[in-house]
Amino acid sequence: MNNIANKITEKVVNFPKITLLLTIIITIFFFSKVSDLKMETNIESMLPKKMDAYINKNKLEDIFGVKDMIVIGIVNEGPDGIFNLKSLSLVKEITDRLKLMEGINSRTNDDLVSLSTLDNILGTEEGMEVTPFMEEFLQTMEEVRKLKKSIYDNDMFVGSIVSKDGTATIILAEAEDGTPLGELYFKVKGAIDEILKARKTNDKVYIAGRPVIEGVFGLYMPQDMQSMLPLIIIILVVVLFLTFRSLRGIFLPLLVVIISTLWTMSTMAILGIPMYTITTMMPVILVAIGVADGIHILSKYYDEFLENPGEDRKTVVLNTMHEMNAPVIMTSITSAAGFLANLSSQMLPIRFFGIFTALGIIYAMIFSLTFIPAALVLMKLYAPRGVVKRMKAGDELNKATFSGRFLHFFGNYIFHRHRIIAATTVVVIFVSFYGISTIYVDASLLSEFRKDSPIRQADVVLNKKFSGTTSLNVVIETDKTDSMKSPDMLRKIDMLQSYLEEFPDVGDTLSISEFIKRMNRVMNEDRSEMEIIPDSRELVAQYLLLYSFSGDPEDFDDVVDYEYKQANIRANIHTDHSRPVALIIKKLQKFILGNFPSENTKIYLAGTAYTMHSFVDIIIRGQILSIIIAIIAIFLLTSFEFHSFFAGLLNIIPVSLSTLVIYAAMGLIGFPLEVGTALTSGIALGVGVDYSIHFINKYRLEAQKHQETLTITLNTMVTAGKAIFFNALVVTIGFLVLLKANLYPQVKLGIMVASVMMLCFCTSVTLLPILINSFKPEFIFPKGGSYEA
Amino acid sequence: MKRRTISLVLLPFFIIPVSIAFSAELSGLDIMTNVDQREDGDDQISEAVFTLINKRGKKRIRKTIRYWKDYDGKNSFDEKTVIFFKSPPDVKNTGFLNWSYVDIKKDDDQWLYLPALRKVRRISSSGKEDSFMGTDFTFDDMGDRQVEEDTHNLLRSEIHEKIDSYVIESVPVDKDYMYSKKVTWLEKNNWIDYKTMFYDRKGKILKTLKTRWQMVQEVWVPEQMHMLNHQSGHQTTIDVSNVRFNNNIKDNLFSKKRIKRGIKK
Repeated sequence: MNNIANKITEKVVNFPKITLLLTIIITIFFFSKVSDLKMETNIESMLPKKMDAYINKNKLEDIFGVKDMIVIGIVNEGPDGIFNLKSLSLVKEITDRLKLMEGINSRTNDDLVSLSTLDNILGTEEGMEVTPFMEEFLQTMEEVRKLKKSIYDNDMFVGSIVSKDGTATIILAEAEDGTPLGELYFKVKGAIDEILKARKTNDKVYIAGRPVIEGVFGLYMPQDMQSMLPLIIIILVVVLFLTFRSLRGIFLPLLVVIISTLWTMSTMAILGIPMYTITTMMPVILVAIGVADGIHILSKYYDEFLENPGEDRKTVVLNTMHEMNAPVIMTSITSAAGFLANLSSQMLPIRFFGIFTALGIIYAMIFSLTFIPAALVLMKLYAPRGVVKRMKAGDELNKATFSGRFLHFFGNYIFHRHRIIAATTVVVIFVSFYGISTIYVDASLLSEFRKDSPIRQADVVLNKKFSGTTSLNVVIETDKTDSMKSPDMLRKIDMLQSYLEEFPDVGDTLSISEFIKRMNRVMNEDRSEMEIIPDSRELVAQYLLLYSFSGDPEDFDDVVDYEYKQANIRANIHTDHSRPVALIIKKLQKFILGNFPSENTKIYLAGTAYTMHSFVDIIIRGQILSIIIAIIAIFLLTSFEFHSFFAGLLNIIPVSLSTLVIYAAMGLIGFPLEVGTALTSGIALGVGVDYSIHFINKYRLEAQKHQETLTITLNTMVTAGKAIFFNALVVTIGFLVLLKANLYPQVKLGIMVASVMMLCFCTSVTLLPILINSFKPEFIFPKGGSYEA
Repeated sequence: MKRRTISLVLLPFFIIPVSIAFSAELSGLDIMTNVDQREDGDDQISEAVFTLINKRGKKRIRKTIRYWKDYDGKNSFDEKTVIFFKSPPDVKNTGFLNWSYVDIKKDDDQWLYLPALRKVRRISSSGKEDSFMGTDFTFDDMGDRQVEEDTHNLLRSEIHEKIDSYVIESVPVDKDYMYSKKVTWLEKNNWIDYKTMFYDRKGKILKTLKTRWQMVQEVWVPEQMHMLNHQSGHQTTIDVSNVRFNNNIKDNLFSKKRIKRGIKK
C-alpha cells in the first residue's frame, strides 16, 4: 500500500500541473451534478418499512383515515375568554380561509374541524337535534352566550375543541397528501397574520401539531446546515491562519474539505440518493474530519523544510509525503471503517450516512495525497517570518512557535508525572461508569426547537389549554364483521379508555363507545344516567345507522372501520417526550394482555407517540451496536496496519475512553440520550482514531531514530502532537459556531464534536505516551534495538 | 301537477315526461327549466338498494322500501315519504318519516323509529348540503336544488358516449355553496341527464354522477345512480327496482304511529 502511495506521490510531484488540471476537470464534472441532489425532509420516510410502528401507522391511516392534524389555537385571556364576538368571528374567518387554501384538505367537516364546522348533537324531549354550533358569524352577545352554554352542556367538546376555562379554542386542519408541510406552515401562518392585521383583536393565535413540527423541523435542518457551513468555514480560515500564518496553510486543507464534500454530495446526486434530515449533518462532519489530513501534511511540510533549510521544494514535498502517506491512508481507512459500522442500523438514512461519510473521507484522502503535494511543488518554499527569525536566532523547532513551546512543556510534564495522569484516568473511568449508569433515553422532536421559537411556544400553550397534542392509538382488530357492535366489546373499550385516562400525561380519549354512549343519552331524553352502553346489539346497530345519516359516509371512520371489525381508541397525550410515553406504553401493553383475550382479537399500538417511541428505540439500540462494531473494526484494522494487536489496543483506548466520558458526562449533566446525541457520539470514533494513529505512527518513526524515551516523547509531541493539537483546535472553534444554530440538534452536534475533539486530543497525547513508555511494545521498540526504515 | 323542487339531478323515484318541446335556440336556463318542469305521479312505491363502497373496496349494503306521496300544497304539505330498512338484519324495520312543506323556508319534519329502542324520535332536519342518509349524495344532489339557485350556460352540443347531448354548466349564485360548478350531460331527445361532474370550491373535480334510466309505466325512472367521490375514493350506488306509480297510498301510512309497525305486509 505504502509503496503504491509513494509511487503515486512521485508521479504527482513530477507532473503537478496535470494533477491539478485533472482535479479541476473532475471537480467541474461533479459540480455540474450536485444540484441534482434531492432533499427528503419527511421524517416518516426514514422509518424502516418493516418496522411495526410504520406498518401500524399506515394501517391507521388506511383503515381509519387518521392523520395528524395541524392545530391552530385561538387564545383570549380576557374576562370572557374566547366567548366574545371578535374572537368567534376570528375562528370563522380563519376556518373559511383554510377551507379554500391549497394544500389543506377540506373535503369533509372531519378534515377541517372548528366551532364553525362542528355540529352539536342535542337530546330533546321529543328526540334528537343536530345543529351547527356556529354556521354564520354571530351578531349578538345573546347568541354568544347560547353557544357557550351548548358547548359546556356537551362535554365531548370541552377540553378538545374549547378549553375547560373557556379561554381558548382550536381549529384542526388536515394537510393534503404530498403537500410539503414546512411550506404549508408558513402559508397558514402568513394567512393568519394577514387576518390578524386586518382585524385588531387581542386574541393570540398559535400554530402547532405534528405536521407543523415535522415540516418546520425538516425545513430548518437543511437550512440551518446551509447557513452554518459557510460560517464554520470562515472560522476555519481564521483559525488556520492563526496556526499556520500562511495562505497555503489555509487554502490547501480547506480546498480538500470543500472539494471532497462536493464530490461526496455529487456522488449521492448521481446515484439518486437523497439527503435526509438526519444526514444533513454529514457535510459538517466531513469538514471536521477532512481537514485533518491537510493539517498533518502541512504541519509536516513546515517541520521538514524548517529543519532542513537546504532542501529544494521537490525534496521537501517528497520527504513530507513519504512520511505522511502511511498515516493518512491508515487514518482515512480506519475512520471510514468506523463510519461504515453504521451499516448495522435498521434505518436506511443512517446506513447512507455511514456509507457516504466513509466515501467522503476516502475522497479527502485522495485529494490530500495528490492535490496537496501537487500544489505544494508549484509553490515557493515559504515559512512564516516570525518562525524563521526565531529559528535563525538559534531556537530549536519545538521552541520556535507558541504551540511548540506549549507541547514541549506538556510532553515533559506527562513524562515525569505519569503516575498522577494514570491515577486521574482511573478516577475518570470510575466516575464515568457511575455517569453511564445515570444516563436515560428521552427524545422529543419538539425539544429540538429553541424555547423561544413560535412552534415550541405554541405547543406549550396548547398542551396547557387542551387535552394534548400527541396522539397514541390503540387499535383492536377482530376477524368478524360487526364485532364492534357487540355491547361486551364496547364496554371493554370503555374500560380501556378509563384506564388510559388515569395516566396524568393522558389528556383525554376518544372511541366508538363514547359515541354510542352519547347517542344512548340523546335518544333517551338526554338523561345523564343513560350515558351508558345499551344492552341490545340491535340498538347499537340502529344508533350507528342513525348517526351515519347525520354525517358524511366516512364520518365514523376514525373510530371504527367500515365493516365494524376494528376499532381505534385515541388518547391525547400532553407531552411528546419518549420517556413518559415509554412508561405509558409499557403499562398499557400489560393491561391489554390481561384484559383482552387474544384468540380472535389482535391489538396493536400506533400514532405519533408510538412511532416516536419505536423510532427512538431503534436508533439508540442501533447506535450502541454500531459503536461496538466500530470499536472492533478499528481494533482489527489498526492491529493489521501496525502488525500488532497491542497497537490495535492502543488505538482503541483513547477513542473508547472519550466515548465513555462523553456518555458519562451526558448522564451526569442530565442530557438525555436521544437521536441526535446517539448519532453524533459515533463521530468520536472516526475522529479520535485519527489522532491516535498519527501519534503512534510518529512515535514509531521517532523510536527508530532515537533511544531516549523522553526525546522520542518530546519529538512526537512537538510534531504529530502539534498537528493533532491544531486539528482539534481548528475544528473545535469551528464547531462552536453551531451553538448559534436555530435547532438544538445542531447545537448539540457542535457541543458534541467540540468536546469529542478536545477529549480525543487529551486522551491521545496523555495516555498514549504513558502506555507506550510503560509497556515498551515490540512494534515500537523492536527487540535487538532499533532498525532503520 | 308541476313539481317545483326537482332540479337537474333527479331523485330516483321521480318521473320525467317523455317529450318536452324542443327548440333550436334553447339557452342553458331554458333547457334546465324544461328539465325541471315535468309531470310526476300521485304516489310511488319502490325498492332501493344502497351500496356504499369505501376506497378500500369494503361495502355496506342497505335494502330499503320507499313510499312517497305528492300532496301538492294540500294542508301546506309538499310531499311525504316513508323509508323502511329491510336489511341488514340488525336494522330491519328501522323507519324514517319525512314531511316536506310548500314553504321553502320551512324545514322538513323528520322522525325516526328505532325498533330496538321501541320509540319514535324526532330528528332535526338536515341541510341541503348535508349527506343524504350517509351516502355520497347530498340532499341537493338528490333533487332538492332549484333551477334559479344556479346560472346555467349551454356549453356545447356534442356526441358524448354515443349520445347526442347538451352540455350545461351550472354555477351557483351563492358563492359560498359547496360546489364551484357542475357540468351536466343531457340526452337531447328525451331530456335525461346521464352524467354530472361536481367541482369543489377550489375548482377541483369532486364527484361524478352517472345515471342509468328505465321506463316504467311510460315514464323514465332512474334504474341505477352511481356517485363517485374522486377525492375520498368513496362511492355510492343506488339501484332502484319494483317501481310502481299511482298506488293510492293511504295518508295514515305517513304517520308516527304507522312507522312503528314496520314494513307493510
